[in-house]
Amino acid sequence: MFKQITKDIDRPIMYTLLYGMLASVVLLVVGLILLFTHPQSHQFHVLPPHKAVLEIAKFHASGWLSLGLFILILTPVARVAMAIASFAFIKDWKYVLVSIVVLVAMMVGLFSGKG
Amino acid sequence: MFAIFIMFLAAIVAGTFGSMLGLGGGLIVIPVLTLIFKVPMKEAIAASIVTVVATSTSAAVVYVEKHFVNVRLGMVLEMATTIGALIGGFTVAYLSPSALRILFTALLIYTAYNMVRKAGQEKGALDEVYSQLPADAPQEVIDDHISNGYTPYTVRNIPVGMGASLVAGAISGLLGVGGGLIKVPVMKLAMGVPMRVAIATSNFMIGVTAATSALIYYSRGMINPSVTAPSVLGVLLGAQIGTRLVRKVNVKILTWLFIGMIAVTAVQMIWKALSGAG
Repeated sequence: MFKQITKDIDRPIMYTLLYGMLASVVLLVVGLILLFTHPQSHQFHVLPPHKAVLEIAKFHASGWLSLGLFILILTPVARVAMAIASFAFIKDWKYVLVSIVVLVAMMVGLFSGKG
Repeated sequence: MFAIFIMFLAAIVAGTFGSMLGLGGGLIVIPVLTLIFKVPMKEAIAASIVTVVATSTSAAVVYVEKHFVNVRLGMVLEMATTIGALIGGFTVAYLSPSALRILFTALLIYTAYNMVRKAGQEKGALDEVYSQLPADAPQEVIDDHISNGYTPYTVRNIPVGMGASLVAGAISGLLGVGGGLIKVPVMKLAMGVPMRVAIATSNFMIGVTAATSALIYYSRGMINPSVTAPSVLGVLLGAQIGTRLVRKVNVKILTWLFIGMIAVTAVQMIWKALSGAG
């Protein structure tokens, strides 16, 4: 139980965390630079992702910052999704189920603000 | 805009201190935002929890790569921490800022108590490895030590671990902190997990736990990007500085300095809570 060394699982999880982190840091740095150079694009609330994408095209700080923060928060979600895929790949069904429970709990958080 | 730049600098200092003391950052970020920058309590909690996602994720990359993390154990306990995070995250809306300040102060005092007891013994999992080696050990020796230093262990007391994880998750969602302060000792003392694995696995879980309540805050539009973005980037940068500085400074003096700061912060927090600030 709880076998620790899981090299086939560790690598994809590590890369998911790494790339999610890098993508969000790039977006946040650009967003902060835009905020300093164009202070009028200042917003007090994050934008929903679909609106953030539109603002990115217009080079508005709020779009870059919102998407950067959203990707940062989604990185652990992607990590759990990657764990489901990795456990399925090694046919460890018990941990596929465990990971699905975690993912469902996170989705409850994501969709809690709607409606 | 100047305030955002100063906030970024303050976050660098918070991140540096946090990583040197083995704290996730939330415990420092929230007082800095509310007491110095007059950010409302709930907005500070939201900013802090996103910062916690960032610090945990960047540390987890290293911990997972070095195979310190027990991914299976982490996933099992995450079932409890995420449910706790949902409870905490949903409860925030129903509590007054004053109530949150009082709870946060209680957590600060608990942290200070823990630090007095251990006086700076809390270290990162990698620092624990380094402490067993000479300071000038070459990288191959360190890598070798990490891969050979692995000792088999049996995880026990799963129900206790699940219960503690639920509580840690709820506190994390409610107060915008990581909750490693609860999980690490429980995993080590009650569940028989070695210290290094406990720190790394707790950190690995914190990202998922913090993201769960951060998603609640995000989907409700409670996150202020002009406060959160400088905090996230500043703390990340500070954590990098902290890991490099930690072997050069006297952590004991730092710990006592921090405990003194907690005392001042606690008084200010309670004062604000009683005066009913936002």
